[in-house]
Amino acid sequence: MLRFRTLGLVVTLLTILSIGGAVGWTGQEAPRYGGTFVYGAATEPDNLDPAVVFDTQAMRIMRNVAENLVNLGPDGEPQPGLAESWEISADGLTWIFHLRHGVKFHDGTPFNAEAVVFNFDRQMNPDNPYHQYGPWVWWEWMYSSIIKSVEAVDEYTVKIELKKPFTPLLAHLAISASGTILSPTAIRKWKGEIGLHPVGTGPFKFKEWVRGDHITLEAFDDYWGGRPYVDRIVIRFIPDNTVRAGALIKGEIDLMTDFSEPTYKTLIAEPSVTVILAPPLNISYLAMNTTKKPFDNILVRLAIQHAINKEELVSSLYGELGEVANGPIPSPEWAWHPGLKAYEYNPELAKALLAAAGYPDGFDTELWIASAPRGYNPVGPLLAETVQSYLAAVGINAKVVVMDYSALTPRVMNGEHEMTFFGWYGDDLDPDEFIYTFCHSSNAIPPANNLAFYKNDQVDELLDLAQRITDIDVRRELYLRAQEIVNAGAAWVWLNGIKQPYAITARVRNFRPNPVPWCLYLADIWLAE
Amino acid sequence: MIPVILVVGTAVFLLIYLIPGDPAQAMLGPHATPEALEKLRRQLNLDKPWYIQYPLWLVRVFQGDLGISVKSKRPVLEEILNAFPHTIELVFLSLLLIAIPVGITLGVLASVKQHSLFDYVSTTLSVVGVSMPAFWLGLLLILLFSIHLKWFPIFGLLDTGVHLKVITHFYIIDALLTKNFSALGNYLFHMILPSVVLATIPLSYITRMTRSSMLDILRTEYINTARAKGLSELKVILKHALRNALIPVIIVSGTITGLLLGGAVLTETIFGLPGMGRLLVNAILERDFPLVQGCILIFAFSYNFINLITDIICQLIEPKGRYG
Repeated sequence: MLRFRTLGLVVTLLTILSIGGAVGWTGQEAPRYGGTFVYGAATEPDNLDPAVVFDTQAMRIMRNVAENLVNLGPDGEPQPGLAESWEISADGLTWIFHLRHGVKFHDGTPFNAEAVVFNFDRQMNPDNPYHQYGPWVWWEWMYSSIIKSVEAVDEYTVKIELKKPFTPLLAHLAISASGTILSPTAIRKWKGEIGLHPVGTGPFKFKEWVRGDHITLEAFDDYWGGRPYVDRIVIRFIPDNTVRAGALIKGEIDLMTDFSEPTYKTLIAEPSVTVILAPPLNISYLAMNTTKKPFDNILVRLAIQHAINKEELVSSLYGELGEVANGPIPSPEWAWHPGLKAYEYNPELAKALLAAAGYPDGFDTELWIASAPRGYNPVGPLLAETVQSYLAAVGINAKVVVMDYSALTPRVMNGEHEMTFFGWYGDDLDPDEFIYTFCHSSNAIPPANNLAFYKNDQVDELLDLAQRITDIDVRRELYLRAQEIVNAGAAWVWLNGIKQPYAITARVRNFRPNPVPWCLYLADIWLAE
Repeated sequence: MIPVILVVGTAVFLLIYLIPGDPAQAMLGPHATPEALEKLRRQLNLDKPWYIQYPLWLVRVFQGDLGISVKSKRPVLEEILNAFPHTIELVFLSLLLIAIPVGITLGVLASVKQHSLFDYVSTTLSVVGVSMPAFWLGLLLILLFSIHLKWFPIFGLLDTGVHLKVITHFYIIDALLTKNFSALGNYLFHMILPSVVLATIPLSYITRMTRSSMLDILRTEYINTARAKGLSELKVILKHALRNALIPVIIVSGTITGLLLGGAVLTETIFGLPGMGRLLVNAILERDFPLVQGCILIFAFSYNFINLITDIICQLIEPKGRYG
């Protein structure tokens, strides 16, 4: 009896196993090597030398070709790159980086401390023979006020001395910008044209650039992190949104980004396409110039806060791609303050506040805005018209003044406006870049980025302290506190961020969008059959 | 031709002052430091008074130096030489292979069959063709023929992965020089939709121009004489009437060619073709003044050059009696 039962059990087991074997276990697919991945880009970069251009497309491409001491990881945070480890001195002024051994550039040049120093020196040192090939836009804007010197201690150790303690530098060093290390041999060879033939240490080598048509990158077999899965990446330039979407649907390209709501709607309806939205690392705001009457009056500013229905505005203008902002620090950052008290939409309260301020019949003012759409405001001047109607409902007669972006920028930085719309994109997840730029009093001096010309000693102190402290939890506390004070000052209406949309075809595997929009790292993706 | 170029050149030079805002700031963007702005101003001679800048600029232009693009740091002339051939080829394919032959044929037929159904249909189509915006037609054709029917590729000069060694940037010439016939075929296949789109407006103009020109000629004494002499109708139409009727058509074609070279920008943008129209528009959007100035100068030069050629062709085919 028992023997038959056992036999039956064994037979059943064997049957199950064989059926399972015939059907095939559909568990995790194994990554496949090979294939050509095509990215349809909306714009063509001008130059691929990361240090000389502010160009998202160039940064996206170069993230795959060249690396930094610290690289931007998949979560948007800096991780070991060409440096395996680092130490920061107690006073925050000396940073020691221990470099990775055995790394080579694509042209065979060995990577070492001399290469790092060479790359920084050409940007910092006017006597360097390659300094003339600037302008070193990133260095001058972001790094020159922080970094005093970069030296080689020995072949695999680099020492960076700072002018002042500055914790955000680590995140800034991960940007494809001044901190990106190109081959010194290639820089010496190509001089000012290095941007047309970049050579780095990254998982992909630069192969060719056919102007106006495409750029080709090839897998670098000897990459220290292991060969990437795909053989080749081709970046094709297709300026028109609709055509790009059509190319994606048809499978002529595998990935597209930088598209607007109408295209988004088309793509989510397509079964062969997957659309992923990354949270917004950008912000669109309305700044009230607190040096001009009546915006120096807190009651007037509070009235304007209550007059605008942000939820309604964001959903009607931007649809699913818009996300209401609540403060100067956008949601992907670790210092975002979800608990910030929002100003509820209450036009009656707004009118009462205006009356209390001495403006029972409202007042006249101007709303300045750029003529062309921006990434954080895809509808352009329509935003100003929308806010104008909210303000009109509480008695504020705002005239919309539309200006070319290049004319608007110097004027608002000079404080000529009463109210202006403006915005900002983030390059890394350190909150300093947003809140310090907008809210610190040192940026309220022309050319200002603090367009409300807001000055608060407490906020200054918190932001300065946050720059010096290295403990992330302490920094977060400081930024949360600073945001509460800024919020109470009501000098800006933080309107929205625009989510970064990505659309991929069915054969693309393991694509995870980076919260930082310039970072399009393609070494981890692979293509199914 | 030289005076025209000089006038255009002066206007182009003054362009940089007419744009609101500071040109250097416009070119470098909001992150630019004062040092970077000063450096760019010195590079572009913006710090010198205009009466010194202008002759400096003129001298450089006549030496063939159109400056350096602010954005890409490559010589403007090089950027133009990389892009212009693509526009020229597109215009060539549109005009010489589609608009002119088809337009003249349709125009002749319409004039011969005046007041027939054919005439009315072709006239209506001409009006529609002239009124249709190029980008709308382009998107429509892409939607229908590339996406739904999958007959044609959507964008670009070649399929991804098709390799062509680029020498002159004229892809037809380069393909023939390197005997790369598969690339040539692929390129011509890619150019079908863009050529059709770009040909629509010229086709309509040429059809109507030919038709009305032929109608005028066919009524003249000269033609009646030819008929009376007993020549076949075909010979009358083709050898005598058409030859005279073509002169205004050629003049119009010359103007159209000049306009198309600049006006191909919409077609180039829709189909992702790296031509000069797109180069100029991008340069304008990015405030790359040296590139903008260079492109406009070249457009003006080529427009004049084409008018010159048109005049010469008219002189050559001019019949015994002066027309007009």
